[in-house]
Amino acid sequence: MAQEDLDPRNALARLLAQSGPGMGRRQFLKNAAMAGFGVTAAGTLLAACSTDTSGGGSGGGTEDTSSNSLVWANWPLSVDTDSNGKIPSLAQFKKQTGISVKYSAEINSNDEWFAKIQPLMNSDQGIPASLISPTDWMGGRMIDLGWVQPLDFDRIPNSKNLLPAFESPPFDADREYSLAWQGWIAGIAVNTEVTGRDITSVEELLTAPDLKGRVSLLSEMRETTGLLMLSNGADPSDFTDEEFNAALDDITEALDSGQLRRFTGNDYAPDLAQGNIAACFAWAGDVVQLNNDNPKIKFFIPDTGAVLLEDVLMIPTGADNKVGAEELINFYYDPEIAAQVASYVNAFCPVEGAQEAMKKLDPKLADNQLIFPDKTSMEQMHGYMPLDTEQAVDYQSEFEKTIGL
Amino acid sequence: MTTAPVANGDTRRRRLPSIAYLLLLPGMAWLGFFFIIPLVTLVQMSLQSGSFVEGYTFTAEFSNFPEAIGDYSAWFIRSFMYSGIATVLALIIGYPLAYTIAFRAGRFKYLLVTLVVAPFFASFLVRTIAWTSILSDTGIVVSVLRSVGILGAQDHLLATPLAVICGLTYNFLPFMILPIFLSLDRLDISMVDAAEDLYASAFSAFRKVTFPLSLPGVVAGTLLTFIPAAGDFINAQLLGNSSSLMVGNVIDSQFLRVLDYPTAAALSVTLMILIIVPVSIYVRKTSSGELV
Repeated sequence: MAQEDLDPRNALARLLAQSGPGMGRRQFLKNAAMAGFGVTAAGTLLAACSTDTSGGGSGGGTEDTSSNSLVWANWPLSVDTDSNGKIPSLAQFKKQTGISVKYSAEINSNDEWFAKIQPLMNSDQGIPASLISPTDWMGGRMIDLGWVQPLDFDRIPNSKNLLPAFESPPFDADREYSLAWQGWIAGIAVNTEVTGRDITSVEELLTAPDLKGRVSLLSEMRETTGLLMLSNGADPSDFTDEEFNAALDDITEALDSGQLRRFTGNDYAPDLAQGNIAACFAWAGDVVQLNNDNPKIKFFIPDTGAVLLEDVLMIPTGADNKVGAEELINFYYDPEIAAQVASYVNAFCPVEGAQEAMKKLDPKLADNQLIFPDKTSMEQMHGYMPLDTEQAVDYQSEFEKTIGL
Repeated sequence: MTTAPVANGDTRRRRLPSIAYLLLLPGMAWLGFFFIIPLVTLVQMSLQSGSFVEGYTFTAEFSNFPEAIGDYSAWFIRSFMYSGIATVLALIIGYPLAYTIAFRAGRFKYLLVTLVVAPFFASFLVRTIAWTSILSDTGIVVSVLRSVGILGAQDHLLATPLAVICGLTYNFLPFMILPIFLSLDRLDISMVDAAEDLYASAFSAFRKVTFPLSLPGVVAGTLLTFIPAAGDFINAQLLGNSSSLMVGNVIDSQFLRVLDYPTAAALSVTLMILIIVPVSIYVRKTSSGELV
């Protein structure tokens, strides 16, 4: 659910590290750096060789689980990272607590990561990570499966800084097992250089004749069907089978009419940058960064509302150093640290007070509604109904068939 | 004095098989761990029934196969069609190139071979993504095709079957060139000279001598191109659209997102069989000279 920076070194580093199937959307945004902005292959390749693909945490080895170290399984580049691939906030954490954190950038896609940990969790072997950051729906699945343990909020006093909007998500209504790491807003991205206008309506996106063959939707079920349901007047946080099927019918209709070019992870970024795609469903954090390079690329919360998902902070069952993991969560709920991370990642920051702290770091970002949405913007955002595993599999199966699989 | 050497010889003969087996051991262990066990696991998984929530159990559910093939026959046909076309294109492009490198490149021969291999220094993914720039709507290829009227103003190459085939051809081209080059490079050029001495035209000499002698390289090249191309899904994912997805994309989807492991495994095993059978026939025919 996260965006990536457009540093071509990071782009190739990740691509080289993950040249396999099932690419997640994060890994593709960095493709924009190459494909969209014409980076020379040789230069980037050489640069990539010096990039720490594991996130370059200040901590030690991958398996070190002693009390003064822990492993954090997260998305690549989902935390502040300097030009040497090091993570300043983790260095600060080590200085403050003496705990070394290995930032393991192993979640490239929720599904792939789930497939990787499933045999370990099923056989009670556990995973090396003490802290994990999957997307909320995967977090919900892990709660259902009993793979995560409740947080001890006495050790996380800064959890009081959690924004009200994140206090009671459907997948963990009492916030017993999780806290928000970063929020991801799905809406419409437009290359206004191509369209010559803003597009704020999902219906327009799917029917405007001048956009025919130049629109892409996300291959993520929740974001795409959620935005379509909102457009149909349904609530994605509480929908029926009929409403879900109506969203699938919209997709089929748009495919049959030739309006849709394809379904993407965050590989919409290079297409959007090059003008192959005029408008698409996209994640706000990605577009904030694309916008830095090309102001004509804009993100819009659709008139009918946007879908809000989050990456979460959770502690797996049987994790070593639970106390250290909770200290780390507490550390990142310090507004100053949260602002530091948000200034790099540009995702929706769930920490109260971070906006004030951001004013000192980067006043422009402090006013960015996609990182620090105001109350009006928040009213336009909708979560996605929690699905139990059986429902999720059924809905996913229907969605995959609709998009050509 | 006279018996000792015989005894030693016998001992040596007796020891030879066990040494050979010992030498085979690492390779066999490798095959066992990384091929046989996964293969058996995959076949076993393809015969399971149940659901992700309740758990999958082995019930010798052979019906998974007809169901998977029935549901996804179009994806199989598409995969073989795309990979077949890509293999033919790679042969058409690769053979002349290998021939030129082998016979006409002189001292630049190995430099050119290195250049053929050079793309492998970048990842498969990067090489595929490069095609999104090459075939971009605003790129030179589309601009030229539009200017000569082959493509209309709203037509595009990306997100089409053509783009997928281009990607497959490009990505697997070196696998075609290298074996053909090796065959041609080892060819005894005096055989061609002899044909020409016997008044064969250059084309006849090529058809009767050079090509048949390079056939092992052609066979190896076509196999090395066709087999991975048939199972590929990156090109279809990045360069195609929803109607050009291949069976590899379906397997990926069934395994990782739909979590229907038996169907995904049945599709994988079916793909393997569908590749092995024609490939075996092809190899038999080419080794017996029937295709020459």
